[in-house]
Amino acid sequence: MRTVTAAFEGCVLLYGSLMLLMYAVLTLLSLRNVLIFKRKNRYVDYNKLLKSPLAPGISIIAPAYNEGLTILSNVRSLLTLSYPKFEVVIINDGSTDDTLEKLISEFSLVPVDFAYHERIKTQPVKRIFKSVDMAYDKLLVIDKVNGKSKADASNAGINAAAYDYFLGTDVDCIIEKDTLLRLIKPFMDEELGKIREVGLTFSDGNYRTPSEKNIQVIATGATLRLANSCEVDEGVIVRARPPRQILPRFQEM
Amino acid sequence: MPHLFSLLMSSRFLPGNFGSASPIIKFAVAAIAFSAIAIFLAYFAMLRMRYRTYRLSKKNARLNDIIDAHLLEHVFTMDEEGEDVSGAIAPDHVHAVLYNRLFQKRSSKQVLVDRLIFYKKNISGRMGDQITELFLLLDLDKFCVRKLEARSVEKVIQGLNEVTEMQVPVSDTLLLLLTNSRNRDVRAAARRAYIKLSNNEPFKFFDIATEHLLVWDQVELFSVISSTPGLAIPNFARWIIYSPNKGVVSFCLRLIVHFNQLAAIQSVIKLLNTRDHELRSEAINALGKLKAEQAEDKLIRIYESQPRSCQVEILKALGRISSGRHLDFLKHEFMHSSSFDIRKLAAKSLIDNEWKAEEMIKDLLNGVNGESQLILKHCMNPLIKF
Repeated sequence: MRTVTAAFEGCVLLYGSLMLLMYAVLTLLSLRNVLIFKRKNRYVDYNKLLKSPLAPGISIIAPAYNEGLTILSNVRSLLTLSYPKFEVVIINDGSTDDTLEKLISEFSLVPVDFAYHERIKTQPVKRIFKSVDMAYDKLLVIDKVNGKSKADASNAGINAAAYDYFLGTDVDCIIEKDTLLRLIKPFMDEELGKIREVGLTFSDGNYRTPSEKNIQVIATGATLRLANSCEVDEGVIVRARPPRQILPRFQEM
Repeated sequence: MPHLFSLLMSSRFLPGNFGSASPIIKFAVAAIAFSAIAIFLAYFAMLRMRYRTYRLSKKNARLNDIIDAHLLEHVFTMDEEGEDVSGAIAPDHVHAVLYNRLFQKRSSKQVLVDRLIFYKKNISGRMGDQITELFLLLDLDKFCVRKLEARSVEKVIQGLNEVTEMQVPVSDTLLLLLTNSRNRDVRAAARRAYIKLSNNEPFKFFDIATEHLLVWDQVELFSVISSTPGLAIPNFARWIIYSPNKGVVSFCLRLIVHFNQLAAIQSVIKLLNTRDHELRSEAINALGKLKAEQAEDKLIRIYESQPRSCQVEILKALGRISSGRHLDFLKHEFMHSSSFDIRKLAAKSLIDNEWKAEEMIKDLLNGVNGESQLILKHCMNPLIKF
């Protein structure tokens, strides 16, 4: 019995120690990468991309299910992001409240004949809406049958997206104004030096043809924080604060 | 240290029967103690760093107040109607106020440089020129140029950005050398500086660039090129034909479109013969935006042998050129292509040729049904832009 107890204690200790060691290594690696990132981005001026015709288009895909209380301010917040070329695709995933009605009324939406191509199989799309108001020409609303998951709604949004890059988000997330500028940068920084050549290099041409990308930026992410105790005005955070209550504060940490 | 450790571990200093505890427990307690100390040290280091940053920002704020007060009083002067009536800056006066002991230290000089650059970015016209004059009078240009030969990469980049913003004259040779640096950030900053500051050939670095021009670099260069007044714009066709650097060719295509260099169309057409399909699709895209009617026949001829990306660009180009000469081709692609995207693009281009294809479009709308009709209606709807 004592042997079993000692063995159990040893296993628990080993497990705990390995976990701590892993966290320590991850912390050191994170610190190194954070310092490299800060150094590289000290002189980056994102405003140049804001005015550039070379900026690639981005589709913001946001599924919504029974978001009637906050949908309007959140959609407004998405429409006012700072980026030269983007669209906002809201997917009403079979909401049973007045989410769709609110959207239609607020943004002057009308159903349109949209050539929807189902590249990824999803639940049926009932209608697609666009706004007759020029101020909301970036907005596209899809009304579909509930697919029992956010993934199904997101896929419908991807099918209808006009651009090659997309941002998947929740409609109840508040996104900072320059998020799209920051998220697209790693794609635009992709270094050709890491592309491996496969096959023959053409002897009569001068160019190296990349046939296979060895290391490619396929996705970028951002930090998520709780908006508890933050001051929000019309979908925009005007003052950030840590949560006041103990449990959310612990959760944030 | 080992003696202290063994003292701590002995039962005289720890409660209960720690001394007789199993090695696992002892190890766990030691690990906890170590972790607690490490966390304390980490927090202490973070707090110390924050405190130092706070002190630095307070000091910089104080220096900025002095700089702002002087500039407002003696440099930025306006009359009641808001007209600039500031006179030439008196060197003695400048030296007396700004070049005193307060700004002799390197860190304070850097604050002064940053503040002047801030104003230079936000003020134009005569006041902007006075900022530059003040910058030169205070010998801050020498301070910035010295950084270009520093060992630290960060200092070099900082120096390059500063000379670019303040348009300080720098030797072309030095900048050209830096445009081919192995460090990507130095390369990017040097290229921006070269375009802005070179008097002779601001695009000469295109000739010697061996490293690839990243998309982000292109955005920054584009911004510098389009915002530099009086910049001599060459015919970018020269690099399209002769440059072995794919990034340079790609960027030059974009510049040709931006500056609408119609004389470069023949060179862009020649690029259709390249084996690199990425460059080929960019060339087709450029021809469409330049509305190169003379390229249409060749685009139709090569269409069948092209990869999908190039076929897409050819269809878009036919829509942009909108000559009305290849409606049957577009109709054929719309009706018979197996690809949804190709059909949609063909329909869009047909709609773009509506001035010539009105009857054809009406017949199609009445004649087709299902998905084809939906695609046509989608493309005809002005609310749907994409």
